[in-house]
Amino acid sequence: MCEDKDLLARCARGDELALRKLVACHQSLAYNLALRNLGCREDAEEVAAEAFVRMWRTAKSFRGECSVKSHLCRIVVNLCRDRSRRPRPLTVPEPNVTIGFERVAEGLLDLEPADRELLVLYYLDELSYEEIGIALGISYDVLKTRLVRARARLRELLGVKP
Amino acid sequence: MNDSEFDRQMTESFASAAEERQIWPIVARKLPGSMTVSEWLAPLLAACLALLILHRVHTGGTASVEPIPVATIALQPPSSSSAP
Repeated sequence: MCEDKDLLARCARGDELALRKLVACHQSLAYNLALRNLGCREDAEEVAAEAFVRMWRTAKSFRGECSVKSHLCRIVVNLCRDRSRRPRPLTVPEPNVTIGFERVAEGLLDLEPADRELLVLYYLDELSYEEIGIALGISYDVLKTRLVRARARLRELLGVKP
Repeated sequence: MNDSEFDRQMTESFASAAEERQIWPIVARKLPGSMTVSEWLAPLLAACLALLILHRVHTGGTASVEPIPVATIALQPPSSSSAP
């Protein structure tokens, strides 16, 4: 969003209120992205907060070529990669859907990190294909190929037949 | 189940399991050189208290100060007995 870019430009000038607005807008995305990749609430909070601090520190170098959301997701994904511990399964309330999220969360944590990053970004449903590609640093074609493969692996882990 | 149906269920599943967190306090703590409200309010209150104490000490415990009648003394006319 244009407003996001304005806010990030204000961050580059040291405007803390602008950062606060960005946090209010995107904390849910950053936190849930980290949570689904790390499987730990405390770590996810730390990573989400660290991502905003990193965005603040590097605001001057943001050229506005991508959305602030994909820029933020890229930082979150990189911070999650830096935490090399194996994700722990999360106990989450069972949602009222056919495939319970507890199973999904366990399945995600059994995936390769690259597949998990991609599927979490995809199923969080906040970013376009282009934005996901930017966040992961891959092209559209690679994204499509990897999405098919990652989805197939998750389906297999969950025992969902075609 | 086809891929579209699987994707739909996954998206719903993620949405229903999404969690909310207020992470600004952690961000504020991590910002370089930033201070929380309590961090800047405490020295401000201490400074106000010190000023108040100094004022009290200087004024002898009263809030108002009587003006010194310097102008009255200076404008006294010369005594008539000393005139030639």
